Amino acid sequence: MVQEQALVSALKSDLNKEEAFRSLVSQYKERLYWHIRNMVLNHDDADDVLQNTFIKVFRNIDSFKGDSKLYTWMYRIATNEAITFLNRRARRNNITLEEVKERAIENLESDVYFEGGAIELNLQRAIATLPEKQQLVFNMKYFQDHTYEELSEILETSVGGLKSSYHIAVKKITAYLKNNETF
Amino acid sequence: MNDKKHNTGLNLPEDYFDNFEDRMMFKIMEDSLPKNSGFKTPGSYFNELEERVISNISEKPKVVSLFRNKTFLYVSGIAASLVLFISLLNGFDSDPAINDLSASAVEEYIYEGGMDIDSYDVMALLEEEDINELTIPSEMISEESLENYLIENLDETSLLIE
Repeated sequence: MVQEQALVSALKSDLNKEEAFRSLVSQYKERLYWHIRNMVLNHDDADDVLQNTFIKVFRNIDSFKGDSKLYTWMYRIATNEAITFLNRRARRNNITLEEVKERAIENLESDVYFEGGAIELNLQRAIATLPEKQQLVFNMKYFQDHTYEELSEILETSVGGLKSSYHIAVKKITAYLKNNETF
Repeated sequence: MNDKKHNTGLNLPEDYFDNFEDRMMFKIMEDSLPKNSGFKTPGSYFNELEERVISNISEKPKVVSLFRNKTFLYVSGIAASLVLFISLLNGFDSDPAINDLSASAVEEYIYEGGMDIDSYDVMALLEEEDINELTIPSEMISEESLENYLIENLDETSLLIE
């Protein structure tokens, strides 16, 4: 916590801001990238959203009040940026958010930055059938291995609610995979 | 329950065995899911990321013009031309050339692209009270145009931070 306070102070100072920001990027780039990638699926899109996230963090660090952890604040920005990105794509193409995700999944088959097989594709289809919040909970718990306490801070939801959400998500995904078995 | 001859002294939560079967079945279900998402990145992506991010933050922030919509520009151009016209009238006692200029002639001149004018030039000509008095008939701006403008220029993260 003391380390985080020192980092935040450095980020808010004019003298050490850039060096502190480099340190911040270095520490959080992978976690934020994979969080975003699990939402937008495509590498180039994830890169765009990640860049925007870090720019927003840099430009708004003075408004970070310290009432949550720094990474919690950054994760929220990343989540909102990814959602904004997907919604914008939906509006531009005059399609629903679900259709945006469907197209992204279809494109994975020919994506050079996707090395999964039929089962991994089917898993993405299964995840896409979940309500938005459940998708988030599942991805963050299953693929990123967050604790429920960390998720509770980031998503501002009770631990009990998150456990329930995650359990339901796993059951739904399992049922989907069973009903849509790939051979 | 624990009536064994020797006690290890090890304890466990009271309700540990409650719903144990359900918890085990859930673990088995979870374990059967694919372990990886299948996503990968270009080889040097993370190594190069810091420099790319730093170079992006060094760029000037994008200025969102209020007058990207041409309708806004034309209307403000008309308003500015009227203000300019009236100012010129007040500033010169008599100048036949200026007096002969009608507002519609000035307006037409602007529409025809006679003035190399952008929104910032227009804003510079207007006083604050002029801007406040600027009313744009609602029929000129459709809800769809307004919505599209907001969609393109605002995002939830900015509202979250503010």
